[in-house]
Amino acid sequence: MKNVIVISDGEARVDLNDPWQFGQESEQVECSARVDEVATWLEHSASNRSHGVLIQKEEELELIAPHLANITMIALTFKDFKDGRAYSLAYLLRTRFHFKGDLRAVGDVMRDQLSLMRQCGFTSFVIKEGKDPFDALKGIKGLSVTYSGSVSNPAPLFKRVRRY
Amino acid sequence: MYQYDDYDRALVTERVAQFRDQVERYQAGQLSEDEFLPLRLQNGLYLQKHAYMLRVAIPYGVLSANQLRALAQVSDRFDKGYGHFTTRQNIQFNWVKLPEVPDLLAYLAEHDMHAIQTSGNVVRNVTTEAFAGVAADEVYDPRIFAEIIRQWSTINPEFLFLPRKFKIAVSASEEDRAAVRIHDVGLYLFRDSEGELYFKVMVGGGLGRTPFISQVLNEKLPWRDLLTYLEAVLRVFNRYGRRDSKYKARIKILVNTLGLDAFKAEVEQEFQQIPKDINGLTESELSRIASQFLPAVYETLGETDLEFATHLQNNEAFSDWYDLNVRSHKVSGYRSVVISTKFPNNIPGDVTSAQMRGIADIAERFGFGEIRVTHEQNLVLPDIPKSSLFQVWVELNRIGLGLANHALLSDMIVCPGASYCNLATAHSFPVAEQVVNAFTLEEQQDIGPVSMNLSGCINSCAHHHIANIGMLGLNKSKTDHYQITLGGRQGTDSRLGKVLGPAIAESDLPQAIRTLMDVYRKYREVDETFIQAVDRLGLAPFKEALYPEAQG
Repeated sequence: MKNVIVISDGEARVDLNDPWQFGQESEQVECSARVDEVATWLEHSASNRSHGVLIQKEEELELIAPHLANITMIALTFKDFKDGRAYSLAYLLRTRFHFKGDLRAVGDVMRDQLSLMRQCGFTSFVIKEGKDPFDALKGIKGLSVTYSGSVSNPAPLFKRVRRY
Repeated sequence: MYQYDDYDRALVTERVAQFRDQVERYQAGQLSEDEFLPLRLQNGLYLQKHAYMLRVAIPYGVLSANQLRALAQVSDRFDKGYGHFTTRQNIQFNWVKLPEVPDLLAYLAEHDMHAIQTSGNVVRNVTTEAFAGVAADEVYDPRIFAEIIRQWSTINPEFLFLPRKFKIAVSASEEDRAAVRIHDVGLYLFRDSEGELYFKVMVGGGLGRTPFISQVLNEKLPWRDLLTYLEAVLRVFNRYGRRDSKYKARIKILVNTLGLDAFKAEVEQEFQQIPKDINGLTESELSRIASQFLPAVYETLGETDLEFATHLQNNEAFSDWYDLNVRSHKVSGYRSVVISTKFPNNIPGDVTSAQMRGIADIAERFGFGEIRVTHEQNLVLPDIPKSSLFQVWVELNRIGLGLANHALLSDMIVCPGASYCNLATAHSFPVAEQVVNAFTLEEQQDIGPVSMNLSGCINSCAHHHIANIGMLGLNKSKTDHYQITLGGRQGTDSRLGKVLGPAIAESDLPQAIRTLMDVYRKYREVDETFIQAVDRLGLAPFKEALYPEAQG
């Protein structure tokens, strides 16, 4: 995939050599670098299942949840950046289903929402075509003060620091 | 009032810098209109008919004198010398210029104020009643929980792109002076027989084109679980709320489509799966927030004041104002004063910069330097010694704010209307003024308490559905028409008004309201208020009087 930002060891960087490819774009990609849609993934035999899976709809979360141990990357779709469902799905994948792999934001993904996505547990971001991923990097950090807890920082501020 | 610490201050300061950068990128063409829209809305900035409008947050309606002076300064420097107080206890500036907004916000941040989440599909300003902390009938100070919710919901990353806006109100009194039941989530704070604090959680209230009064979601929620429970409600809403139509996206539609029981089951299931300890509130957090409010230090004052009694005896205008605009206080010798912003003296909710400064001075000289905003768009001086009331009244009159009409028919909630707003179909202010001017103050006093709200369109910003008499502006042919509803009310026993009949032409509206009042005056019993008479008589006599031709 192009225009990818990854967070590894707490550092965000643009990855020009991202290995992942969507299955529907090329049948030839081997399982370890392929991302299939949930329906396709479920149809495949166990040996031919891709290591990456693309969730596009809310209800697909429950379908894929039992198989998370065999998946190393989940791409969650933001069809429109104003549709915030994927933030809750990311939260659930991380805290309820304890998904430990790479959680990737795809679709309408832009600089000004990246810090929110990061806080909800996303670890990589495919920046929307036409937007500069190096510019988007500036959006990863966000504000230094957050009141509520989140996936990246579970305790709310009042339990995280001593306030007088 | 709540005092910011370094964390609060850092957050608003960084937020200004973030928005300044977003404005610059928008102006440079790096952000499209569509990309910029939610960013500016989350910072309170609307694009209205003639200009940008900035809605500044006044958390649960509490302001310090210095903050009110800062708002006066903003009115002069960035607007046309006035601001408009809203039903969410906020203030709007109607004539701001986009390139100046970052400087405006930076100035507000210096005074511990912001415009975060006053708009957009997010959790909005948490509201409570204007007499919080000074009302004799409250079980606990609702501002403390309102502040806890404010902090939790501010830039909470999971809930910034909800299906639609989300409004929360808290009340700690039996009466409910915070219109709790028209909120997406309403919280009634109460104590059980052991004295422990709980919330009764209401859900699915809201007006607009499909009005609903909220229903009980949880009868008895322990206060420690408040944030966890709100998280569960918002997650269910975020996942399952409709996103295909703006008009079907509020949680009230989800609750009513699923049915209350099914919705409740969803919330309960989500709630049970969230570890309670993470967001669990603690005694120490509660007392820390409480201490940040710097409780007022009251003097021991007597209830007897001969000078006050003399003024009351000799000055009828003062005595009227005292009867109507002064409320009892939990501390002996103190009172709360309601400052009316209404017709005929003012445009409802509009206050000039000079008036703001005047109020700030009065609040400091006679009170503890604190001002409240009511959801009826008035202002309140919460702590005035009884012995200072006459001077306060004199000073308020000096700045044109001594009107004695609290809870009378001229104490109307009115939206800005089509003169400002893109959505409005009718020009609310001038017609509301005509209605009010049809009644002398003596007549209004004879009629007594009645709530009359006027909205310029179906979005119902002026809460006309829950007024005793509601007026809704509709666009019919060339002249504005108004649909009249009767029997609505706010409070614990909230009800939606019922439509009386066909909409009435703007020019006939004052006479129509007079007709309704004449029915009341003809049939009322001793000490019976307007709404009590409506309950006893039903709609029929009012309908007959208003639409005689329909009766044949």
